[in-house]
Amino acid sequence: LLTARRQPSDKVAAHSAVVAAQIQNTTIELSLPSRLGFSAPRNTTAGACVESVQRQQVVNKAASSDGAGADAVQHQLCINLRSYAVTLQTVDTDVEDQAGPTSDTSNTSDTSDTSRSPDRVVRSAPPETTMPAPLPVLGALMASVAAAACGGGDDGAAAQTTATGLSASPSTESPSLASNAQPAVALPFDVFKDKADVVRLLAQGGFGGNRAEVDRVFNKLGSASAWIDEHLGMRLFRTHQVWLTKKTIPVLPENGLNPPGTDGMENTVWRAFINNDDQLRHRMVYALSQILVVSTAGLDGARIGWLLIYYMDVLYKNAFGNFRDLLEAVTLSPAMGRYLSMKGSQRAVPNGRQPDENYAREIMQLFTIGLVELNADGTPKLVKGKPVDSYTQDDVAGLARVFTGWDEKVGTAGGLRFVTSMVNNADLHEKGEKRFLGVTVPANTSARQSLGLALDRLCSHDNVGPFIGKQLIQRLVTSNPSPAYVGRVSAVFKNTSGDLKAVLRAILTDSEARNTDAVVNNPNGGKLREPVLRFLSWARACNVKSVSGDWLLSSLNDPAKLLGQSPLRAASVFNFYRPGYVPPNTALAKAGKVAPEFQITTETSVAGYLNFMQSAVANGNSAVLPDLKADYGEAWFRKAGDPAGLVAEANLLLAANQLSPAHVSLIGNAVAAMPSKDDADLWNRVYAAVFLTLASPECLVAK
Amino acid sequence: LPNNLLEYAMSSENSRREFLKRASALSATGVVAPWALNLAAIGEAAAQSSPTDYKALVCVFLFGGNDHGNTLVPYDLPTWKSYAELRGGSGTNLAAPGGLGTAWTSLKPTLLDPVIPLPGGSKRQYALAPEMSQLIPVFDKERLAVLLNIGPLIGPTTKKEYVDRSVSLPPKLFSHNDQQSVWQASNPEGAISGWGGRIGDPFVPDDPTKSTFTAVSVSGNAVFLSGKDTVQYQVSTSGSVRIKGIGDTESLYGSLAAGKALRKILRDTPSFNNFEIEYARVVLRSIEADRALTDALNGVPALVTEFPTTGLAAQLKMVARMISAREATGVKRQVFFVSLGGFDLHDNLLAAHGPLLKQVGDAMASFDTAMKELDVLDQVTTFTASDFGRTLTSNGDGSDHGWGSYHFVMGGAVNGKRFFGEPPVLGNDGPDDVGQGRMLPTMAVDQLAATLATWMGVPPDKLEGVAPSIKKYPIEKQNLGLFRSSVLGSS
Repeated sequence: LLTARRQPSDKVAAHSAVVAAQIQNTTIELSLPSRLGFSAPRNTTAGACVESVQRQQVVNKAASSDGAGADAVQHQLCINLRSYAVTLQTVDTDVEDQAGPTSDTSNTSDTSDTSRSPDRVVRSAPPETTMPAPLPVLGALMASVAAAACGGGDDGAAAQTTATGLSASPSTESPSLASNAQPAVALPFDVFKDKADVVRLLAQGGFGGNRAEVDRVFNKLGSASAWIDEHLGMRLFRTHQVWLTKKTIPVLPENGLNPPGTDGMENTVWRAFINNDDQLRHRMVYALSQILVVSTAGLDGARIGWLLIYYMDVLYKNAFGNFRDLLEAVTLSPAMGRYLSMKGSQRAVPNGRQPDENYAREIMQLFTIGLVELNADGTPKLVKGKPVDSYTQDDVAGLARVFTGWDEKVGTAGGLRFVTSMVNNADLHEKGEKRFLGVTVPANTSARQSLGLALDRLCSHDNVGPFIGKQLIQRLVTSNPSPAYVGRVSAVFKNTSGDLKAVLRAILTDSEARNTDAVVNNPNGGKLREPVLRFLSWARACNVKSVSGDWLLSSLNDPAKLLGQSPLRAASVFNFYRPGYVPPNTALAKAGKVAPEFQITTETSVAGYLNFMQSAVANGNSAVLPDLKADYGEAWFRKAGDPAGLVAEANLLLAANQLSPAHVSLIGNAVAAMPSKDDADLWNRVYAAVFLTLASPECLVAK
Repeated sequence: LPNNLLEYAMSSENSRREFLKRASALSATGVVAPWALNLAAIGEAAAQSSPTDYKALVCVFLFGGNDHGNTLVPYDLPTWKSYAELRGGSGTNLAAPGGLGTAWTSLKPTLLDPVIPLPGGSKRQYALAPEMSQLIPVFDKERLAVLLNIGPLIGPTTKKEYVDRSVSLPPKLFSHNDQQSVWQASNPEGAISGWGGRIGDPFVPDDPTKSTFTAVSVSGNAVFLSGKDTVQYQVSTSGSVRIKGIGDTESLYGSLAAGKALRKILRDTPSFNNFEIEYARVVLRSIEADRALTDALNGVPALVTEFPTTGLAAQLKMVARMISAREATGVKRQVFFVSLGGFDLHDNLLAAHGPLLKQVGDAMASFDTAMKELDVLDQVTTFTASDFGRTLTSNGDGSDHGWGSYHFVMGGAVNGKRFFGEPPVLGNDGPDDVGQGRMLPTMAVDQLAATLATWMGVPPDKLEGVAPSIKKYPIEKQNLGLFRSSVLGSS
């Protein structure tokens, strides 16, 4: 059953196969040994497997001289069962999507209508690996079995998954990928040594978490890789388009009323980031939205909201997919078509109009290979001491000929053009030869084929792994990864032909991400949290909800009065900041380090941030966040009578225990000096502890 | 003695007498001692004792790469026809050329009538984009000059040398972020000092609060403003932002103790992690500068000049307000940076470009009026800059990334109502064309930087530090002569 559909990693395969077999009462095949010491011979019956698991748990417990260690092992077993059960709770198509009247199910992951060059090596798994329909039921059963096998009564992953409506997706990993993803050797620094390790991970692979989530991840998952596995197994719940459509804004014909503008976009994007538990996907989407940038600044007219939420859905659907597929979906999205003006670009007219070069240039410079030839570790290749350009103006002009003839799909029902992949008009596509980066596309090659060849060429370039990999590391983990770290990630990118799941796993499990001490002891370690991440870290830790349920938020971009940053509102395709930005006149510059987030750090924005958060933290300030309210709840409020405990809570959840002892006591003393006569007093204590933590540079620099 | 050095020495009323005294003493001995004079001049500049000794540069950056082709349009008919055809339209229909071209018939009101007609066999004429009509009176009052075909270069470059790649070229041509950086800092992305900041370096006051206002951006962070000692200060269009709770006796969430803790945290200097240290420095600058600037701005009357309600105008208005408070802020030399985005018009050029140019023209004209109001016309020079020029040929709906461009320099000290540089030969594969109407610059950004630096008072031996390739130009071309001669005339 399992091996037919995927080649799961050892431990997951072992345990999950047991459960699956029990449910189906069939014999199973176990082809991989478990790293936890359990394996079953081929064709073992389900019942025997389960017995075997239970026996192994006992053995593990008995064999360990350390009771806690044995517990941890047992936890691990339960976790694996549960997380794989979650994984199997799968439908391949998004049911929610189909429910929406405007769904565009052909847009992203299905690129089979695009011709690819014969030598293309970058492929996601073929469609036959997807799960058949009955499996959601099976998955649900398995989840309960998993819970039961772990002693029941635990409302961890499975319950949480149900609560958030997550449905799991079958992995589309290739066999080599799976073994690559879960090495038999234990990863260094993988097991959480304390809850601060959990908070660090949740801040790198997500937007943060509240007390319950931190406890759950620490107690039930126990390791970074377990959390990553859990999250990589989570299926996209529903698209932005569906949420918006159901929520407030119907898809209207073009002459309809109430064009959504951008407001709906802000609502649903903030909602998803704050409220959803499949955090790794959201965080990856946010990172991708800062590499494959589209922005309200540069999109004109009505329907910007629709363009952008469709674009976000494209990123969501491909965030755990293959980079080549992602790039194609992005390329053909109407938002990108407009933003970088590929939409409407036409073939050359002799002695006249030339194809628009915008997308051709930026797809190379920003989305795939960058300006100079790179080594696998991300350092520039040097010839006679100088970097080598990775493309020329002629390559730009040649590639621009590929991107001709594309336009929005008009003529269908109204507004669908904004939420449907662009289509090609063969009459406007360049029919002559197209030459770029050493590739020659013969004359009379179709637009689709030309596009496929171009994207294949770009994605097979040795630069893509280090170029994209390093930027993802910078977005998620650290501003200045070592070349070795970049090299490890780009090797995974290359070996998996751009499988973003494997790349994410490599980034987040790397010892350079996980070894807290090494980062803390490095004067140039870590990265400045950008304003969006600071805000979301508070919102997640403090259970921020929408009072109306509509997430009435608008742009938070104003640095003088608001947060100073807002998703999908970068100034240009060069994002809010450049990955190579060096803040002048600083120790970082002297040390030759970059600090991208400092590009939006100004005397204005630091003050604006403090003022914004000062209001936001104190619930119900209608000036800056009229519809959002933090539910500090038990975890925070009951500590208000215990200043030290309160500060410890803030320090853990917001700063991963990285406040200096001096600031811990400073804040603690200040809180202790605050009155505590009534609830209002106690709330003020909570606000002060939270805000003062968020004001400290020790919290704002993620290490 | 170079004119600029004299001007430098004469820039302060108080120092003039002293300078003349020393100069005559030297000449009385019959010894020509330029080096001694030079030292004397530097000493005078360092003293900067007079309140009237004030100068400011204002960079108006047009992000995205301004379409120079439609900013300054050929008006003489032969050149206009060639322009209209290259823009994808008809060279014969003067009222509706089609393509990206501006109608010849719409250009008359903005025709530029320079003091000295342009050279060339057939008379070359240019008109501003019709949307920039507000700048015509400024031009006519000789406070606006046009730079023809300026862009980043590493020394003089001919087309043959470009084609053969036999000279060094600016890195990463045609790339937005890099050319923004090259324009501002002579280096691509990652550069850590720009020529605006380097101009400011000799003038940074020792007083840290005052030094904050040497280089001011009313846009975002711009490498242009960072020098060796010059640190950029960023201010919003409504002034500095005060952190709530920062006042000495303010409370936070109703608590004096919490307020005190906030102030302590914000004023603490972290000791180990460089990200923390630098972040804390920005916060500290924010606090100190807010205090000083708020006091300074409160101490001067509001501007009478009305500015349009656009983003760029709001930025320039803030610059004008800071200039009006120059005595209180106590800086003798200031460099400002303002910007407008949206110029990357690969598509929709015809509809979108005009309104942007109108913003630029209207805001600059208002700024000129404000400088007159403040009686600092001769002391403030404003210039435009952009990533690059664009292609002259059309991509159907817009233009693509280019290189050389047209720009403006504005101010009372400027030799206005003039064109500087060579009018480029239009046309595919002409001597100034490196493809699709991309212009090979004939005037280098470094020449502009050196000229502005000299006007600001940077001594000749420091010019290479401001404009790294300036020595590749013969001495007579190191200064573009953009400024009116000083009272002493040229050397």
